[in-house]
Amino acid sequence: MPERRVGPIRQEHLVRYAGASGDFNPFHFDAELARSRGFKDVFAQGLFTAGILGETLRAWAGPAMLRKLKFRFKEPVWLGDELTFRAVVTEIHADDHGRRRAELECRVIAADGREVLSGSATLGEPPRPDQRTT
Amino acid sequence: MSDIPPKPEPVRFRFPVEWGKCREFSLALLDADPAQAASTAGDAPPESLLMPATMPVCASRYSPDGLSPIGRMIEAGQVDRRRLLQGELEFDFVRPVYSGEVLTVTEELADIYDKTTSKGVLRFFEFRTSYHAADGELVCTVRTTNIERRSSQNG
Repeated sequence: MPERRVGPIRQEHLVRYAGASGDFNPFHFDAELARSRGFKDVFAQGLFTAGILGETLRAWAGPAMLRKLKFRFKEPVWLGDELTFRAVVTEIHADDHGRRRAELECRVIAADGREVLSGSATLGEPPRPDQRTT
Repeated sequence: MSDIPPKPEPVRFRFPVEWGKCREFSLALLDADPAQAASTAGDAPPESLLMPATMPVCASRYSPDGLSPIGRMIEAGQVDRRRLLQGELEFDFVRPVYSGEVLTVTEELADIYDKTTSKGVLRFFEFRTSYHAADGELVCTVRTTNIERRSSQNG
């Protein structure tokens, strides 16, 4: 996947994502509260970052090709952060039905080198209707 | 005797995948043209939008109490919000979902257990949420892990 750069992250991004997702945790918009709890500032919703990763993968591979997305939040994303989204193919194999699958290692890195998210993704054709489950 | 709370009953509810919500969510994820993805998918219904990959986790707002699975346990006094950490999230996609579909969501606590680590006792909550289409087909599964710090070496 070509690297994607996003940012700098602004308060507007977090407010828009809060409205869209329903995640109104005040740590994402109330700087005074965040600082009173020991954070240096408000920080982004983890799923904001993960969501951009998911859509970037789908835009690259095709909308029906994303089979699995797995991730862990490593560090907060602060206002002003500029993020780089990377996904590298680590393996290509066949699944139980003989369909080709590409395994990717995914990382989101801030401009100062902090890894804010790490994870993995699987890309490949969707299962045929007769191979799906209920 | 363990103080691990019993697993709550699964919660099931309808999740209408709305065109406006898909568009709002896509724009919030900095997608400049939400219509683009569906237009490149061969089986997309006309005028529909592709549901963003991570949007399923927001379905909890459509649940009867509007709470997420871990939020429900916090409300019940079974989890201390101040000691809670977000663990891994895992999405399994069977096929794309489009606006106009109505999914049935089933949220359940798949597992709950304590683990003693060098940093103290941690309690793991592993939730599994499945999303079924109107014809009963499983279209997506989301696994989330929340971790509660129960005690530390320093007490």
